[in-house]
Amino acid sequence: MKRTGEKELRRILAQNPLPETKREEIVRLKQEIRMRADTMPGYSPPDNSLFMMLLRQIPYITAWVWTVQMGTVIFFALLYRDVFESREPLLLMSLAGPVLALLLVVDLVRSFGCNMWEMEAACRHDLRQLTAMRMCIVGAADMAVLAAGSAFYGRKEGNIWEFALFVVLPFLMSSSVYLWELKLFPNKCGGYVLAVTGIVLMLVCMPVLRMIHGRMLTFCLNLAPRFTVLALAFFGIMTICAAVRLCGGLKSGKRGMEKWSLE
Amino acid sequence: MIRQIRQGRTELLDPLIDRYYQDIFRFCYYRTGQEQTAYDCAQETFLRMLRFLGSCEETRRFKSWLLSIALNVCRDYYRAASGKEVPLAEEKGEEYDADGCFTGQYMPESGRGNGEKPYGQAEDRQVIRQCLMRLPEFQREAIVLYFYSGYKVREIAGITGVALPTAKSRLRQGMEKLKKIFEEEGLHEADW
Repeated sequence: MKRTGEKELRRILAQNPLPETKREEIVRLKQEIRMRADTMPGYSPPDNSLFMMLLRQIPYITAWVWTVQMGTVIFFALLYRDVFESREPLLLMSLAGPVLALLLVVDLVRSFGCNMWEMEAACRHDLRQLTAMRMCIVGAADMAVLAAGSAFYGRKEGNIWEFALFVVLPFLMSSSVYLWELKLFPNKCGGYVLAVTGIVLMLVCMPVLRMIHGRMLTFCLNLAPRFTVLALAFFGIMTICAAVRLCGGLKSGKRGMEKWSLE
Repeated sequence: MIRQIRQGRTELLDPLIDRYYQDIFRFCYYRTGQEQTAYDCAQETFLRMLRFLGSCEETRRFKSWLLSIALNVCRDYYRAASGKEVPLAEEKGEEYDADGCFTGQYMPESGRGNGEKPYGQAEDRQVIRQCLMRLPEFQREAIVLYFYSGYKVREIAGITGVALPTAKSRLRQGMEKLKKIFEEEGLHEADW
């Protein structure tokens, strides 16, 4: 239809203006609504603070994730104690970083098996929020354990930066790599890709860190803590960016896809 | 505001109604063609809004969601009242008042369909309303949302829950049909 036709239609339709709304109808509606709202069962406000929302997510993280993580920490702690007398216990501990980071991401991979995340993204609760909250919970637990380990090592050996270099840095680096890969392979084979990446990182971490540590001890021991902090900050930011990118991609499978409620 | 109402602050329902009542009433009025029916549908819309406020997606605009409810309320109203609708004025030449009730009068024959405009302002409104009611309900909804509520086609597709091409097609067909009806009623000459 021509633009002039639409303008003319608009002109004609405008000759049928809306009547004045009756004030008493609005007042009657408000009374009715208030009465219904006050008597509606279960209209009590849920506690939606961030802390409570995070707490509510904990039961949804599978128990085996916590079990395996705990087992990993205990294993490496025992390994450290047993090899303490021998050389380079920290080098063996550097394997803990990629393993812990892998366990964090494996829980997320469940949604990507068989493209389930597309269906989950169409459900009532925001999948991005849920994924981000679960990553925060498991990541915070891991970081708490690593911080405790750093403090313990620092008290025993006096060099926190060594623990950060050998254990925390591989953890952050592995996390960022896994999260980037999960975004690239959001399907069933993502799990296999992550497993292979984990093995490669474990094999690569030890010699690379040994080389870096050796260079630092030889050439710039006083710069070592600064270097470690910078590296931690860099990979920490990379991890956060990868997590945000992953969550951002969970908005919906296709443009214009309607969200629906299971209620 | 919606989040706070969900959290139990029911005193915010009054300003919410003040903000959206006019838009909902406008849609219901043009959709149903009758003032009292529009009040009933608007009331039912807000009552349903209260019941389903928990399922409102925060990513979707609240007004669009509310209009979707109003749309369904109007459709449900006519499904429930099927068989009680007044026959078309054009077929019988009957005159109807502002609430769609037959006045007992008949339109002058000379003023029908020959390009003249025998109607005064009040009759114009009534005739335009009846012309709108002659459209199929899906086309009427698209016309009301486009011309009276000022929505774009993409937004109309979201409110009515159809794909964009479907919404465009309904709007286009509604406009063409309305044009023909206005020509028959003598509200405009044939060559637009």
